[in-house]
Amino acid sequence: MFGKLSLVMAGIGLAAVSALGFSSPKADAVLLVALKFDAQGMLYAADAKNDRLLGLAIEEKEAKAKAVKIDNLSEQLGKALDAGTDPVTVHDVAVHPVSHTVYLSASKKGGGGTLLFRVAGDKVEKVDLGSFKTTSVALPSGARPFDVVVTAKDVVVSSMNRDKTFGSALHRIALPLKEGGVATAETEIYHSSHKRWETKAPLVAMAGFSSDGQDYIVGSTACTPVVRIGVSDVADKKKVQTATILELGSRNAPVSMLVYTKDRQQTLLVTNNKEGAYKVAQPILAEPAKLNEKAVNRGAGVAVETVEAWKGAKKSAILDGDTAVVVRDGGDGTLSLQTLPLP
Amino acid sequence: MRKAAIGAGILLFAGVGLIYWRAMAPRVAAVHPELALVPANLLRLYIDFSQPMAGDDAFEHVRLLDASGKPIPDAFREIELWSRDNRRLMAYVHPGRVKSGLAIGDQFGPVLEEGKSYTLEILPGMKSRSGRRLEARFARALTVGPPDRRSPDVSRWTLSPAPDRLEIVCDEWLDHAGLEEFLRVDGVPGRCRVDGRRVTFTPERRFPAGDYRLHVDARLEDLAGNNFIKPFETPSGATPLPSERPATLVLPFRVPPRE
Repeated sequence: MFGKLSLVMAGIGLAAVSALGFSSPKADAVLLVALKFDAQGMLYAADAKNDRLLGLAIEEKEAKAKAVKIDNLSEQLGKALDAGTDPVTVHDVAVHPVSHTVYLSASKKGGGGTLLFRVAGDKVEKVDLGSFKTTSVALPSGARPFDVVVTAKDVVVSSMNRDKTFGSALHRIALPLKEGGVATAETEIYHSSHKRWETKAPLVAMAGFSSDGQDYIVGSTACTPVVRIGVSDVADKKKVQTATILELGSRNAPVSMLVYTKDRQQTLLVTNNKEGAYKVAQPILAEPAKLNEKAVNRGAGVAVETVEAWKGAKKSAILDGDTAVVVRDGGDGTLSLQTLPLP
Repeated sequence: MRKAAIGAGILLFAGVGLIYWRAMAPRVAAVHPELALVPANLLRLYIDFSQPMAGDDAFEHVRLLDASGKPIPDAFREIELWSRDNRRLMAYVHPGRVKSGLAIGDQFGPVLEEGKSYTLEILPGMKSRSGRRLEARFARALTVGPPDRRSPDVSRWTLSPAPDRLEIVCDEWLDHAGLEEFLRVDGVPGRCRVDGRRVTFTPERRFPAGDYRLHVDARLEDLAGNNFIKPFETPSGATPLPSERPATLVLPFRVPPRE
């Protein structure tokens, strides 16, 4: 009698424990670490939870760019993500090319997955990923994506192998996305600070640009050679040796990169975790000769301007020809969304 | 009597709940290499957890302490690289302070210095995917030996085949994840279990007597990132071209007939 009663009570106990929410809830489905739009409004998102590239067809009406300003971004995201006292992380920001609506992916720290948000006035609102026509493609097994560049014909994803080799790679995916259409090239990056080739250093920040009809990627590892790669050089089962054009220094990991044209000059802007953004003028960006061992070094006094007005700027995206939208770290754990002039 | 039964039931209820609650908490299951003496140029550590972790907060909880218990700044390259199941975190000892000639290493010195002692500390609070947090602090003492700048030597491996397994003893401690992935026996499906320098390959079906070949992927590294293609730090121009690199190394072995 008592034995049966005890068993029943134990069963109730187990059921109650489960009902109280102690069983594992479903984790968020995606971790969108990089966002880039193409010219038509297709949003390409690198998913570091499932090691996939997603294409979300976001159709919106044409509208002029408007400056955005959300001073309490972290507070709004915290509420939307049910973060409580946990801080939030903004993984990337992108601007729709037709409507100029700002999108961003964010998660609560240690939350394990992201939600996508859109900016409406001075508010952020959640976006249902299921509301868009979505295509996707799997990256090679173990390839943890870091950043994305979109050209007219391709998407290029940087990655690092998470399972065994820890090798860094670039993946070129021809558009439109289709499963299996991924060309993977291992990267070798010359680190002029210590005259070595790096094979396990992913490009953590990248931007695309065109010159003389050719598409290029400019990117940087966390340790901070800035390199240039021809998109056509990213070919399947090949090794791509990048051209180092600049060394940024130490203890200043890049966070995001923009290439924009001003006064007919292409300029690279690199936000980082230390100080104002680094402005790199066209002669360095297009440098044909000073590569690898001869690459210029910011630490050695080379004229790479530090734009103090961009101090605290982290993730960034071009809003229109003159301005960019940036996620700015206030230095006190708060994040804001701001519009800054392109320097 | 009835009151006693109800009391016992409540106690059992609470006990089962507590046991279940404790069992569901994430914990550190292992840290690789499981070696007290590591080379001064140790490149990476693997931290295995008992359940999938959330990520994004790892380096707020993983620290390396010096002998006085003070956290070492910039000890790790803080790029979170999790296995696909989010149970294993790979922590790079800051490469800028392992490689020679980099500004951060010149300015702050290496992370690990020969002859000194350190503690790898994992603080409570790191979140799992289920939302539970690590409850207990984890600590592992590390003592640092001389740097290792030489490639591993497969000719110094010993193979001991038997019908139900192949025992492999490597010449030195090698990368744990690499050993799990980079060894295979030609034409024989099976699994590798790694225990320090010793690897046990267990075939899905017993080996019939005969000749076999163990394939070792040349990318397999030791604890300092030296692999069979080149030492970790290779001078400019000395990196072998892909066409000159061995893809695999082959070690033949024979399984004798059963007596």
